[in-house]
Amino acid sequence: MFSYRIERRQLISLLILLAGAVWIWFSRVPTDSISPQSIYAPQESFLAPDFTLTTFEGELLILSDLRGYPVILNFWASWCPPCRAEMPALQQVFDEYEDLGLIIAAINATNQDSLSEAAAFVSKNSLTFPIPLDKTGLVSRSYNLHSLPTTVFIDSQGIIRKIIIGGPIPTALVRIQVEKLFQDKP
Amino acid sequence: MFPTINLGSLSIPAPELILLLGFWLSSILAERNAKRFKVDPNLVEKVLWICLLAGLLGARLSYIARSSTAFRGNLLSIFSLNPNLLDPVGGLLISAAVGFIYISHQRISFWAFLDSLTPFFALLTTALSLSNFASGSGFGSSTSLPWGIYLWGDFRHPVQIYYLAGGLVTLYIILAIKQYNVYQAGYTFILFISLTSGFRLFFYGFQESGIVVADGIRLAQLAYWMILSISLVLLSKLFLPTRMEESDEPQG
Repeated sequence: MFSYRIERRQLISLLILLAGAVWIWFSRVPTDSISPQSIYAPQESFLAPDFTLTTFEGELLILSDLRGYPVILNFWASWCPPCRAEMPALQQVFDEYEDLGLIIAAINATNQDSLSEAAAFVSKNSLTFPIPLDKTGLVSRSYNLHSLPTTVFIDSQGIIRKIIIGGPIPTALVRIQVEKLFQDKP
Repeated sequence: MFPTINLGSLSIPAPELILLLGFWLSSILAERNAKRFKVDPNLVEKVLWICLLAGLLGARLSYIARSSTAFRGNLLSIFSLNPNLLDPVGGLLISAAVGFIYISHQRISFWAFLDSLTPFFALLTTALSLSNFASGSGFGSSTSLPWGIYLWGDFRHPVQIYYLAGGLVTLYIILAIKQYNVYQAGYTFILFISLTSGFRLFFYGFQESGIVVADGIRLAQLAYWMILSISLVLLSKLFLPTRMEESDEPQG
């Protein structure tokens, strides 16, 4: 009776493993499956949603035009303390990597900010990277913005590699993510 | 998907909050079930908190070790509260090592102690699935089934919910075992590993492709199959039901 139970257990185990192996083969990734890297979505491994915004200086910034360069998008507002606290870290990393081709666009959530206070903050902190203005909030919505600040790291092929919600981001973390973007560069 | 919970001007990251609550509830569950495994609940509580602290510290140290040059000139970043400066794998390994060393210095069977932690692992696994659902990570592949959810530009399998359901069923089975004393120490833990690797092997078939090896076969499924094989062998060979001597006094 006892040996019969052992055999039954072993048989069940074998059947489970056989079914598992069949399932692994049956559920393999189809060759014609659509890769996330060809879909626009605000999520890691997907293509960064494209946008066109005007900067403080009145210049047009089109994300898809920046293809070929690593890009950091930082969504911020002047009333948001962590946004204000992390801006020097972004400026420091921009100074270090600008010559290598890093682009930072600090998108001001103008639809929920005061333009004059945002301008005063940019001037006071001597920020040298472009500050696009999201006046309608459409870009914030296309990036599923739930919280400020939100920072999106995009590689040179336009793929989102990292999204960091909240802040302030320490300089070391920005630097590490930027280094990864340059390592991914083809 | 709900990555943040906004309370007025306060924005709380939901995935991290779910994991913290999950840890807390899982530790309570493990303490309440510890006596079933003849383990001192206070010891369970102590070990879990030691492992948590060791894990957090280890995750930060491991992250710094792997990216030490980035911290040059920014030593204050080491003390940042930002959870992105943690290495989960390094933290997990250090936490497990510290837990193992601590347990081996106690007068208690290692396997019996793992059994007492099984409800903790089972509930924490479900919390992890819910956390992934909140963040939108670990998402499913495209589907035309009616319960598909619209996420990241397509209708997808709600695979995090599948994992959640699988985790809850596993937790129910683990808690439903009444006669722990008829099995050898370690049986409950190995059963948990078998069930978890089994349902993960199945549900991973509906997940968006991760690392793929030859012919579209997913590496994660192969890993789950290997773990399932080993755990089934252990269940059938090492942990045959054997009536053990009962002891009234909890160990530890």
